[in-house]
Amino acid sequence: MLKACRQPEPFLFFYLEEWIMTHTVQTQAQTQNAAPAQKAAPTIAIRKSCNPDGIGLSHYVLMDRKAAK
Amino acid sequence: MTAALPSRALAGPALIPVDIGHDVYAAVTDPRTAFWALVDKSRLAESLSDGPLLEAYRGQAEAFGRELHALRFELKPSGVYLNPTERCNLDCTYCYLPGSQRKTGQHMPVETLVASLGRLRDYFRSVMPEGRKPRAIFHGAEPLMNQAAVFAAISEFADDFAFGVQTNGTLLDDAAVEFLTSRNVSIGLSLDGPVAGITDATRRTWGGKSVHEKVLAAMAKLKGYGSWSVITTCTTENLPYLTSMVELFHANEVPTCMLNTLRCTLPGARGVKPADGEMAKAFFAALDRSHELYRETGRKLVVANFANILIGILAPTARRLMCDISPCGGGRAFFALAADGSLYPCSEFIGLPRFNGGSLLVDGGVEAALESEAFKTVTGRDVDKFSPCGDCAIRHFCGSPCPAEAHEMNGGMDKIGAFCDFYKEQVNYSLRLIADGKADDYLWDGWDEGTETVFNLAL
Repeated sequence: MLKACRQPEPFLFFYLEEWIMTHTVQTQAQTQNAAPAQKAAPTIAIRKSCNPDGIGLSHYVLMDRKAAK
Repeated sequence: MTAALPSRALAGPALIPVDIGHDVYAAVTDPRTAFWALVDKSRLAESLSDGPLLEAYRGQAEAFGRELHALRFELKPSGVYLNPTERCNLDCTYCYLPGSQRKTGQHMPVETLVASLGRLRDYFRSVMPEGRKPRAIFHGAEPLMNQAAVFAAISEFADDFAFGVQTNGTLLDDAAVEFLTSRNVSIGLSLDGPVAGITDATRRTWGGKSVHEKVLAAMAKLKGYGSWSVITTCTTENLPYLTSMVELFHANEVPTCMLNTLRCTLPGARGVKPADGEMAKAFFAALDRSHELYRETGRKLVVANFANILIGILAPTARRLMCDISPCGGGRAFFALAADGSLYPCSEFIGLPRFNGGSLLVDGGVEAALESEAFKTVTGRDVDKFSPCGDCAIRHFCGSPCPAEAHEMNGGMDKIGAFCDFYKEQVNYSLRLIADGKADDYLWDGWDEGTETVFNLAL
């Protein structure tokens, strides 16, 4: 952030320009030193389908789909 | 813990972000079709905007919507829960059946049970495809209190039904085990603690005696049998011991267990109801332990109620339990026959007379019951139509169970069930497992045999 002016009004642009120049150089240096952008994790989306035949409830479960075949 | 972040669905195919508590991934869902994807959470904005994910999904959205609609509204019954007696030799704290029935109730006469199964066989033949057997599950109270009728029925209808028995295990002597296992009857037991002191807190005889050792003996008899399971009902009394339960079950080669939240349908259960956060913490610790044991030994102990949530996400139509879907399976995928011959949408409603759909043998039978106001009240409970479920991004992975406890505990069919936040956490946990490539470790081998992969996107 810019701090309060250290000099009278006519010098404002000088100091502002100096601040911009200083920070531009710093930013360029940071950019040059930064690691390359990380590759995004692959999207995962899966859906399977079958004929529904579930009849279990919370008091009983038969997990074997083949049992009633 | 992180909660799902529901947002209101948009008019067209659009995706809603869900924070699943994963380091890398967030989920996006279209709750109207139960579609989901896991995306890099640092690229969430890109995933939600027009792009390859949304484009691929748009091509399938209509088909997924039709599939979910068929699962939710177009099934015909293919199973029945038979209550051959009102009586039970135990007085469990959280039972959903009234104590007066369980203590002094009636048995169904063997002739009535046989006649009922004949009527039910004819009904199922009229609605089920040839070559598929309906399921008939003897259920409680304690069905083996009326063992003679149960065994007579199994013998007479062995070719017509795939039978199961859910029992407290205390009457399962050698002869009963031989009878049931030789006929490939699926057997479910119940045990609430790793030691007698914990089991006894909620499951005792009417005289206050422990049944813990009897259930362990029944488990020992069933070791090596292919089709059996044990239910633990999770309460404030046994919550700190769920990990020990998993260790006990695994050591006894139990192939499948359920770590169920208790149903809060009757007031007695609510006194031992765990808070959602405590339930989630203990439940996930037990799941983690089951996974460690699998990695150590190569043998799985499937925690079926959780597996069902996972399957409901991966393959909505392959779910085995029909509690975690809305409308639930009660009164449409299955129904219950009470010991007095009345039909109910589910055994959970047998203590609630207003949900009596009429007599199987005397009134209009199954067809009339399915059309009765008693059944329609349950089958009409639709999470799309009431708040807060209607805005929830994961509503069709959960289904807001159970209508009986929503009605009795929370005041209506348009209310949530007793463990809303716990279900959200189970969905988040499931999605994290999928993100980490571990989902199959929590499912029984070959769980997806007979399924077809209809969407598999890798971007």
